[in-house]
Amino acid sequence: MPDTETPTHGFSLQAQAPTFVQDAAADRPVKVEVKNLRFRYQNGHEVLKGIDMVLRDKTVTAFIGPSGCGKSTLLRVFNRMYDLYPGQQVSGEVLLDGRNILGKTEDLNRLRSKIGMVFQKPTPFPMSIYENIAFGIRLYEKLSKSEMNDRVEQALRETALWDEVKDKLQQSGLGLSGGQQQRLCIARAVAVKPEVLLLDEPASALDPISTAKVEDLIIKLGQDYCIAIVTHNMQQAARTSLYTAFMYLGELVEFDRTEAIFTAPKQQKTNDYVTGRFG
Amino acid sequence: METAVRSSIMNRRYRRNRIMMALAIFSSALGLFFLAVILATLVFRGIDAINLDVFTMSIPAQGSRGGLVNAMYGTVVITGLAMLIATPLGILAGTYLVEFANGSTLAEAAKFINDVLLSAPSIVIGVFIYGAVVVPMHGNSAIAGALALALIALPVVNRTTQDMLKLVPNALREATAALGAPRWMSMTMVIYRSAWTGILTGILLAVARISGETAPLLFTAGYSKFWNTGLTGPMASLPVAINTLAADPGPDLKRLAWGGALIITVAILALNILARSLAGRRSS
Repeated sequence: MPDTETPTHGFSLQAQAPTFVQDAAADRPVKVEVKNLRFRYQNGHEVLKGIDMVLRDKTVTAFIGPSGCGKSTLLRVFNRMYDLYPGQQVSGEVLLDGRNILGKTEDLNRLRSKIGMVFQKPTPFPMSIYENIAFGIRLYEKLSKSEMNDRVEQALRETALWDEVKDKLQQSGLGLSGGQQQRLCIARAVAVKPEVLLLDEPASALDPISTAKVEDLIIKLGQDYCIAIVTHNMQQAARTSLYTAFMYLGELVEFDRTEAIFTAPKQQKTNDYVTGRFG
Repeated sequence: METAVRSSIMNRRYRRNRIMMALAIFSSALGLFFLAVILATLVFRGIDAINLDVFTMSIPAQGSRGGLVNAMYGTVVITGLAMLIATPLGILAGTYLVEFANGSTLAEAAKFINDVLLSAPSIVIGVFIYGAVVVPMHGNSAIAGALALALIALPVVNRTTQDMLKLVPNALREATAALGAPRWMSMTMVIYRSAWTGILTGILLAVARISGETAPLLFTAGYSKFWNTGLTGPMASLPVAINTLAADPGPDLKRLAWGGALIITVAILALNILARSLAGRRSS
């Protein structure tokens, strides 16, 4: 594609100047550290080829890259989602607060109580809005009815869903719109008070207005949680994250401040991708 | 402008469409016609026999008053007992095969054998229970009948459970696991909840299927004219009663057989409609 042509997708420097997430303070402490992480599917295909990076506390880190580059797989290593399926091999280390979570003896339920996840398609449980939130809380805490009511309300307020659903808490979560369902899922993940939130393309199935709401939510939650978000939407990565990791074919090509990735990438591949020349 | 070739291709396509449509309508009409004839005959011949006696008295001898209440009772008890055995076993087996077996060789073999059992002739199952239960127990019994029907219902419940669990999106399993919920909680609180209308539909269809079975009951539960509540003794059921009464030369008894056929058809129809409406609620 000739240089003069404006890209039809991807991130354009000619378009309105984006406002990057600014963090005046120094970098937050490291929450998750990834060391030489390799991942292989049952069929022998290696999808992660030695990843080294960090996720910082109270910081949003975006993962971008073309389909099949391994970004979702990486996310699913952080909460050991791959354990649900037989025959997948992982090597290297993922340190959560300095402790390797890839060990055979790791208590997965405890790990997942600390590392919440939200998926591409909204996955409300087939129960009421209230129960959707309470389900997770009950797994870890024994609360009285009024304490539980408070916690449910708090989670729904935190995700800006409270005003929309406060009069129908006993109705099925399946009756909400797609965007509301997704925020319900985020509320459900937040309600168990995790330390890390993994968001796997959380807005890619939503309309623009719902997407904007979810993005606002991510920015807000990023002040309190360590968040990792996988996205195909460059603007979304630019708007929500302080750090961005660009992955390609199972390798981490470039990992830097989001502003640097989008305005002054060091690698040609990164530059090509964020300006929409491939991917 | 449409060319002549194009127009002839289009016309041929429309003609073919009309022919196929006519054939499809004819086939549906033919099937519905025979169904209507069967139902009309049943109502026409059976309605005479329907009176209060049928629901209050046991099977009579030719020439005396009587009804079918012992056979109805038998059908309800034997079917109920069979479902009591088949439902938990079928649901648990289906759950294991889909959720926990991870496609192991054993599981694949079990699925295949279950499908074979699903289409096994019911008389064969009757003969099997005759050899395995009736002969050692020295006689027909309601329990033997219930076991035979349970063997027919089991693969139906098992298969439906498998199919319904497969319909639950994997994302829901991952979402539950991602919250840190243990497997058993994920199953009981989320996965069954998504699948229960489908599983219930399967159970109702299994009830409908076995409550009309005659062959597996002939040598197992047997037949009795009398009000009999003992599970270890022979017990009448509607299908076996119809089979026996219809073969009787007495005209009153033949009429009673028609009445029984009408009753069981209406009951099974009602069960099927209930199952359908549940399945419909599921898809909406």
